[in-house]
Amino acid sequence: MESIIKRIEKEIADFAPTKGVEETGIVRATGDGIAEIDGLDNAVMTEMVLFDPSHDRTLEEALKDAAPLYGLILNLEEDGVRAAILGDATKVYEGMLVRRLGRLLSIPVSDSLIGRVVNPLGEPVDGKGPVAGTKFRPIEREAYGVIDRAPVNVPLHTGIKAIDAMVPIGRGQRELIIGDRGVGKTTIAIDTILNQKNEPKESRPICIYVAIGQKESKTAKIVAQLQEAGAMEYTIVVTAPASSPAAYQFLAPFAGAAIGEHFMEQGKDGLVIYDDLSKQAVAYRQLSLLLRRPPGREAYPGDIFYLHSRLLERAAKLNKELGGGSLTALPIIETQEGDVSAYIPTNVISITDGQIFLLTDLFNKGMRPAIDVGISVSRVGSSAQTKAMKKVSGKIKLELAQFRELEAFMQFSSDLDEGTKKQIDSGRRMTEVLKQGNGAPLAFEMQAAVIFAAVNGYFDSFPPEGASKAEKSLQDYLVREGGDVLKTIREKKEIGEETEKTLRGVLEKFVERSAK
Amino acid sequence: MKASTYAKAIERLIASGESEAKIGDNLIAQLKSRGRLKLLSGILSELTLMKARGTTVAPRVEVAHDKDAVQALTEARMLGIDAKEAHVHHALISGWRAQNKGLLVDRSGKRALLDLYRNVTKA
Repeated sequence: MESIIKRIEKEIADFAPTKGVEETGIVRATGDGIAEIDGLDNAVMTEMVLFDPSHDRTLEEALKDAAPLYGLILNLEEDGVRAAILGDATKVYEGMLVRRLGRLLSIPVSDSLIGRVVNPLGEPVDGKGPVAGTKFRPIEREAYGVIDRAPVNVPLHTGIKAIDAMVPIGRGQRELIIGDRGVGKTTIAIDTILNQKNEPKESRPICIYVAIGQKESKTAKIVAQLQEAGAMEYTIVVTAPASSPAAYQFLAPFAGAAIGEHFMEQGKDGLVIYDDLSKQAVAYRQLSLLLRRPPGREAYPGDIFYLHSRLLERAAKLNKELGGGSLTALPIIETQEGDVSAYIPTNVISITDGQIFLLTDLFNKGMRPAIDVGISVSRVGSSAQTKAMKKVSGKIKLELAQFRELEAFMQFSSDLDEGTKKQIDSGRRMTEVLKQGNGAPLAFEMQAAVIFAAVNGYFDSFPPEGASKAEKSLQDYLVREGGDVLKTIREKKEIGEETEKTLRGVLEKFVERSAK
Repeated sequence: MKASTYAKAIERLIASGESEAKIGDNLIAQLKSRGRLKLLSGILSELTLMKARGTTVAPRVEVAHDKDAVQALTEARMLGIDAKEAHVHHALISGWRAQNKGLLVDRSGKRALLDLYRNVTKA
């Protein structure tokens, strides 16, 4: 009670009534989350406005519904402006007073956002009370230029063997995760967040998961999973669920980028996941059509490419003078029937630095993650790979690609020559070793050791279908009996001559023991 | 040209002091010569809209109590809002507010209390 009284007393003492002249407009028409406003002659694009119902109400009536209702100016027209209503559009009525706020759409950002679930306006939606901190950041800003950037050279480990070995991601990179619905796109993203727990605290990226147009139950499940794994300690969730206005779904990724930049500019690393940009594109199409902007291909507006390029360009690795922080982006795109040549997928593929393509067929065959090695690439990640991983993963991609070519002949295995049979078995074994369950990311030193074993034939004594089981036993064995070998790989980030010798010794013992 | 463009031109001419009868005659003659008399109904509705907008944005001063009227009108005039009279609006609780062509000065007790309430409850 005491503190509340003090707080109110302080507010009253500090209170200064509005003295200046404010610019106002009047709602001419409203519908579908868009308001046409008369006046506001000096308003600028993406400026925030406040819909003020209190103007023609008594104080008592106004206090009943005192929560502010904001709008975002998206069209400047000859005789007024059009704004997207950021909230309950049913509260806006014709003749309502609209006040200019004189600032571009901004959200409050601070370190205390970590562990919280917020909406695209930075308002908490997790019932844990207000977020401390009052620093506002515009959600739209120009990306860093060439001079401000440094090359991507620090790995961002996803904890997924197939990705870290074949499609490595660097801090500051933009790597697209693309595939049909239900093939494990979100799983890869969440596993990547979970894996950051394996990173040392000082270099652990702050993760921002942006849920766009998702079912609230799905987002709640993800938050619970992250909480259970202790990953919310370094994660922020921005949610614009399917039930939220289209404007929220359009803004959510930009809010995520603004939060990520807050950490990047402190010299920290950030990882932002946009799940997914197809839904953002649909929301933006809806807004654009309601704003009467001319439709283009698939009814998307002409600036749909710019929408995604300006968002993804904000991922960066800053140079030392700017603190050396980074923001890695993992956008997700959902395809229809595996069609990567559709409008939005091709746009985003061309913007990003590579893509992880997930195939429904592989998923249905039980391959987890269902990555199509052939068309998944990382354009900059290899320079960020650790020496240890580079050494062990060199041949995997080629070997797997050759295996996929020969896979069709598997049904005629009895008629095949020994060499081909051996190659197919080796490919099958490698495929089994690369399989990985949900929510079980591996630390990079364990991945390096396991892949080393696979490429050097230590699983050859196991039948191909048993390789996955053997790989799990090897993991246990390495932890139990591996001595310092994992620790050495983790610390040195490479497999030197001495380490290789020790590792080979451990692996030989493992093979011997398994044969008994 | 669109009906709205004609309407805006008419508004500008009236503001410059041109005779309304002359503007009307010239407009009809011009539309006739171009065979665009059909635009008349559109121009009419645009002009009606402009007139309504002019009423909404006309200078207006509201006071909570009659006794504040003189002071409110003077202060509003100093801020560029020149209204002829002040209307009493009890919901303002105290003080006054003035509006003119998209500008608002709100020095009412209601606004101050509402701002205070929002400040206290937002954090």
